[in-house]
Amino acid sequence: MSSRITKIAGICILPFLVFFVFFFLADGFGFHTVPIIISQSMIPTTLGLAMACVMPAGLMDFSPGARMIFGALCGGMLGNAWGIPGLLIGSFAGAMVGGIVIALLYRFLRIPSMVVSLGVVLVLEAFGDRFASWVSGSATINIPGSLSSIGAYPKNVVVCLIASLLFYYISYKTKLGCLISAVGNDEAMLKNMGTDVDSVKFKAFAVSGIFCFFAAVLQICYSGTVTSMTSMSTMSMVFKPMMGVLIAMELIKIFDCMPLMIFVGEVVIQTVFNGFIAMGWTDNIQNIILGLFLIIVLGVSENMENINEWRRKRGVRRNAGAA
Amino acid sequence: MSDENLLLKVEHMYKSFGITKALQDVSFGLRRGQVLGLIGENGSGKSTVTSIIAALQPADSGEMFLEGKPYAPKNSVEAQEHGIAMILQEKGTFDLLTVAKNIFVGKEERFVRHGFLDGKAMVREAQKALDTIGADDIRAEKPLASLNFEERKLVEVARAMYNDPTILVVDETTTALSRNGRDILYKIMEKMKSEGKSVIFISHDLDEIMEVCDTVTILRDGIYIDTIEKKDYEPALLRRLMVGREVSDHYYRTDMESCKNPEVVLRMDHVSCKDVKDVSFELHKGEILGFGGLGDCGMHILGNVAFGLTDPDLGKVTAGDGTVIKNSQVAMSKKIAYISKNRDQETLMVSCSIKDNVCLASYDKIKKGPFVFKKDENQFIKESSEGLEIKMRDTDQYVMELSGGNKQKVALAKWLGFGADIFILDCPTRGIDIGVKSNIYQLMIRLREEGKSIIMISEELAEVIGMSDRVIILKEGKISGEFTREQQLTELMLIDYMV
Repeated sequence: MSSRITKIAGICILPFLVFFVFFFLADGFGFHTVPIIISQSMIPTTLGLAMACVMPAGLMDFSPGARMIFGALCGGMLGNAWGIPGLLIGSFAGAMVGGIVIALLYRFLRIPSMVVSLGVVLVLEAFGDRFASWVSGSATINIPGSLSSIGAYPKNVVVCLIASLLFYYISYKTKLGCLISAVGNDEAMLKNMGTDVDSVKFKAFAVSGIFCFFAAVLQICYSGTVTSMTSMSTMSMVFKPMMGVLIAMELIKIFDCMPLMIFVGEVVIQTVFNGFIAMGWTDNIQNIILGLFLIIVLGVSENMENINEWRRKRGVRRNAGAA
Repeated sequence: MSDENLLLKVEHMYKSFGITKALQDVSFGLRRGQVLGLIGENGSGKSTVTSIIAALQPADSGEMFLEGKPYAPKNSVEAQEHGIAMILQEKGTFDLLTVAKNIFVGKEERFVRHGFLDGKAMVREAQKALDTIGADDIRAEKPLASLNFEERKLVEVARAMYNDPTILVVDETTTALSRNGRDILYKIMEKMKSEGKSVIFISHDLDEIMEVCDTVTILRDGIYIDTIEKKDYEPALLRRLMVGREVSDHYYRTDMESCKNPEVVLRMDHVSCKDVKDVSFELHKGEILGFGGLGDCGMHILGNVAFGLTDPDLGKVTAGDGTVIKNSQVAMSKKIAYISKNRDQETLMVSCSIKDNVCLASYDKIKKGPFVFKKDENQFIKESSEGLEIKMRDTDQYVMELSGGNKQKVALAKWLGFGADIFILDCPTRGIDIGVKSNIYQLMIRLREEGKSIIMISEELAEVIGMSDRVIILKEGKISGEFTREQQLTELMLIDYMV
């Protein structure tokens, strides 16, 4: 038990370390920024959960951003008509439809998931834009404050927590969670064991829609407004969550709790971004540093075995030299 | 054979892959309480027929009867429900899952209570399954990636045995197991026999087949040849039936001459690394240098080091001209070839075609200017594989579809085409039938006569003695003995230096 706690504590200290680096480096970066960072981490974390449903199955999906925006637009429209139930139903329907379409196309047309997801991004973005114009006469849909309050800080943390618990349940406490990892590990072997692999992948995409729904709710409630996006610009929303998932996939080697690790990863990334802003760095510099940060984190964690081997060899050679 | 004693009956089974006829009118029976050995050369149809029994693939035509009733499972789950389990020759585990999840993959619903998967119950039950087969030192909660190859195979055995099968198919599993692992499997087979259950056992090791099987069924080129009862076992007879011609016991070198050429082509100088301590030797031109020892004596890593895949902690490996072999690129530039014991993972690209595998190392030779022409590739493959007789549909066939012996021939063709002068062969005949074994030995003799040098690493002492000009025995990572080729050299003499 104590080793579990040590591992969790060790991992959770990571965002604090990054925070304190900027705390000392950047003026105006202090404890007052903590709620902002946490609040800003909620959407990428939830979107990260959506990506973590399909990535372990060896599938690539660039559509969660598009599904989230489409869900938020649908939620906004129905929310304005029917209040909170409308917001939830609209977001859910909008977010789920993309996942199910990808799953069906992938299953029946046998096109690589990345290609299908790119197609779905284009279609959902175009639909969303048309839809927003039809509803509000512009690319933006607004919701009243009474509705957006359900996703305002600190309630957005609760929404994210519910999504994380649901993800934990699906990943660790259901048959589907086990099979998703197994599919990513060796699809042919799993097929030989009598598992319907296509059905597992279908469900993985469909389940990811649930987390796009949570993200859609958080997105529209964040500022009470959502704007449709075109020309694949929703894809840029995927990269931060994807980085968080990649960091999480390394961290779970230390302690296996994916949603917690995604949260830690996203908070770290968000802290770094906020720190850069506090230091007055431009977007370009921020992106360069973030890219380097990702390469270093993954480079070190992927090569821990090689690093240890190099250190061992150096020790042996030093001792042999001394002898 | 009385019908009530017959557990499984296979009748008139046919299966083709393209133009390759894998099974042609194969019929045989399996009695209750019987261990049936299935033997044949690589590509004879053993794995095909058993995979049809386990419902991993369908037959083109033919019937099966289980306990007298028609048996036609649609998938492996149905086969398992009928009490048929199979342990595969290839890797059958998921590295990213825990041991427990590996044992119950696809059957997780057994542990779902009120909608929640009870991970602790799964681990408890998996541990019980491991303990039952005698693999109690494997912990069910551990990630599978932390286990070695043999332990992973035992996890597969535990998975197969968990459902208490009526028929267990063991397809070439014992080559991956040490003595201890084999004993575990033999005990399971004995227990099944005593309970009136049956085993279909596939192995290329005739001694093992004769020891553990009550009856042997022989297949050749997809055709049923004969079934021999234990009392009639004769190694020469079995070999003849398998290969279709007389195969002598002595397919090793018949000469007793050792290599006299003083020219050194490869030198290992005080090499130490993880499992090897201060190993030095010289390989001469036209010499077959054999390495023997127990599986974990460090000899396998020597092949890696000699080819530059493992950087030694201390010492160095140099080519004849003094060039230090720092990596595999340098090794290849010095015309060194390496075939790993772990053929599928380290030597071949099994998801690629035969053409890709054979040509890859030699595109500099094949290309004309910046272009590579298909006819040049085909010509190259033809020349490289001359005399190897690879059983294939065409050169575009995926290597993963080939049998073990044919995969090894592809690996050899790659290096023969490359024009290697030094061959490092780690367990070159592992999991290979006697026909192909004999071909490989003849090839080694031919290469030696052509002045090529060979390092042969093997766990089979008979082949080390039979083929080598010089034998080096390793014990716990150190050289414990070195012997020159001579008539008096016996396995017993070498074993003294191994343990």
